[in-house]
Order: sequence, then structure tokens, then C-alpha cells
Amino acid sequence: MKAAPAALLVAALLAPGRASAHAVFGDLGPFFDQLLHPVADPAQGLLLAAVAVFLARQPLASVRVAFAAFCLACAAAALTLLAAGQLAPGMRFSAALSAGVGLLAVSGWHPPVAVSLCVVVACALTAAALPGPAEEGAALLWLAGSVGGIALIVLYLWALADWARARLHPVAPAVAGAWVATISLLVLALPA
Amino acid sequence: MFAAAVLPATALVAAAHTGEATGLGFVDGFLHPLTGLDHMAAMVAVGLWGAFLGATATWVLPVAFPLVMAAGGAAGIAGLQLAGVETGIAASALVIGLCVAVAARAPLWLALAIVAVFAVFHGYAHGAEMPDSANPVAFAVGFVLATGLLHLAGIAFGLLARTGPGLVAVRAAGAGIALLGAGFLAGVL
Repeated sequence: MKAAPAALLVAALLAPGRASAHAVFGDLGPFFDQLLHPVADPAQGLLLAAVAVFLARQPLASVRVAFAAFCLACAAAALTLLAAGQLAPGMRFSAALSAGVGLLAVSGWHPPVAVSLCVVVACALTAAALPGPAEEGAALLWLAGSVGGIALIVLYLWALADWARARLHPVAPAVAGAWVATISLLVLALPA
Repeated sequence: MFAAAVLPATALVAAAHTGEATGLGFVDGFLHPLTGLDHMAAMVAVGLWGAFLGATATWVLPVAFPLVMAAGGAAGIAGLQLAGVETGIAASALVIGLCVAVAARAPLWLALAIVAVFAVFHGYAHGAEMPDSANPVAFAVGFVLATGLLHLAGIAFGLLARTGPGLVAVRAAGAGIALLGAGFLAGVL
């Protein structure tokens, strides 16, 4: 039994090219490009921040379903983008959506679950369509990075808003919503 | 806040955007209120006064201020003429600082009205710089975030007003901000 690990070690030493643990998936650039796209693209980041503060202002029972719908809608939009090519909704459209959702968060209105679902799905479809098309041969990595990045950023910002609500003041997500709405309104004021 | 801290550091990683313009735009915007002593003093004063006025105003003012600031910002972006911008900004430090110094407990509607008028001037000054930034959207993210954090800093300090010595400290801070505002108006600073 001890001969097996030794044999493997010898084989690895004699054929180092075979040790490809860090090259199994090839170049991971497209994955990380999309994973961090919301951080590098303020328009997309703003929209995701709006979703996060909106979710932080809603009852937990409704947002569990909403976040699941959000992720599914992201995946669907990303797959559609892969199939159809460029679908960029435009910065002004995403800014208008961010402003509306930010103001919803400020208002503290608890809409029916169906309305919450419509809001997050609209944001998901827009956010997932904002990045450019995938590179040749990197569709799977692009998809994983895009959906994963969007979901993680929303989850993180939502957790941050929820933490602020619990530890600082219950209206903290509303303050964040005001910031998001303000930035979005300023973006809308930019010349076309 | 984490996203704001991470953004400049990771701007180069996502090659879909070069990241450089985004990072520069964000930093320029974030520093804009911080490198203007008049801006900074007035924003801290808004937070101080809100904390001083009580629980409702503590958060209503930081919610209302940025939204009204957006209107001023839009005017600045559009290149509309607004007279006395610098005077208005200096006056905001003087007036709001005085309100804190004399412990003025104005009704919420009046406090909102005063803060809203000055928010227009601040927004205009920031908005006028936006179109020339490396990345106007990142610039907006930066200066709105910096403005909000200054409010929060003012609120945090203003909460000391709940104690006797803290109240003295807060009122003294208000007086200091009012003096700064007077200095700006007189052209001394």
C-alpha cells in the first residue's frame, strides 16, 4: 500500500507537466473578470446595491423567495446573453431602475411578495445583461463568474445593510437607499 | 463601506473594464467633499444637528440631504447658472454650526427646510465637477459616499450630547464650525 504513494511521487517528479491542478480549467481570467465586474462597473454595482438595500428593508419571509428568484433570473439572463450576444440595456435604464428601487427602500414600503419578485427579477435581468459578451471558448467560466459575482455582491451588501439595521439603527438601510437613489438620479442627469 | 474600500484596489483585476478610470473617478469623487473644508464642516454639522435634534431628525436629515443634493447636482451637471454657490456653502457651515452651538431645537420641518436649501448648493458644487471626471458614475458614488460618511461621523459625535460634558463638546464643535463658516464668508479662510 505504501508503494502506491511513492510511485505517484516518482511519476510526478519525472513528469511535472502532468501536475495540472492549477490549470484544470485553463485560464480563469474570464471567470474573475465577471466575478468582479460589479465592483469595476459602477452602474452594475449601483443596481446590485439597490437590490441589497431593498431586500434589507423587507420581511425575511418574503425575501427568501425573492433572492432565489433573483439568482434564477440572473442565470436566465446570462444564458440569454450568451445565446443572443450583446443585450446591453444601457446605463440610463439601469440608473432609472436603481433610483426607483433605492426610493422603494427609503419609503420602507413592504409590497406584496409578487411585487417584490417583479422588482428583483427586473433588476436581475438588467444586471446580468450589463456586462459585454463572453469571449470565444470561455462561455462557462463567463456564466459562472457573472452569476456568482452578482449573487455574492448582493448577498454581501444585503448582509452589510442588515448588520447596520440590527447594530446601528433600524433605518440604516433607508439611509443607504437614499445614497443609492441619489447617485442614480445624478447618473440620470448626465448628458446622453 | 467595504465595497468602497475594495473598489480602488480591485479596479485593475476586472479586465472587461480597464478599471483605471473607475478607480480614479471614485477617488476624485470621494476626496471632493473631504478636500473642501467648507464642505466637510457643513456635512459634519448636519450630522451633529440631526443627533442633537433627536431620534427622528438623526436619520431623517441624512436621508433627505442626499436626495435634495441630487437636485443641486443635476443643475450642476446640466451647467445651469446658480448664483452664490460658494457663499451658500460657506453659509451652510455658519448657519448649521450656529444652530448646534446655541442648541436650537427647531421643528423637524424647519430643520429639513434649512438643510435642504444648503444641500442644493453642495450638490451643485459636486455635480459641476462630475462630467469632467475620468468616470462620472464612479465620481458620483465617491462623493455621495463621502458625504454620507461625514454625516455619520457628525451623528456619532453628536450622540455625545446625551451627556452633560458631551453636550458642551457638541455645542463647542458647532461653534467651531460656525467660526469656520464665518471665516469662509469673510474670505479669511
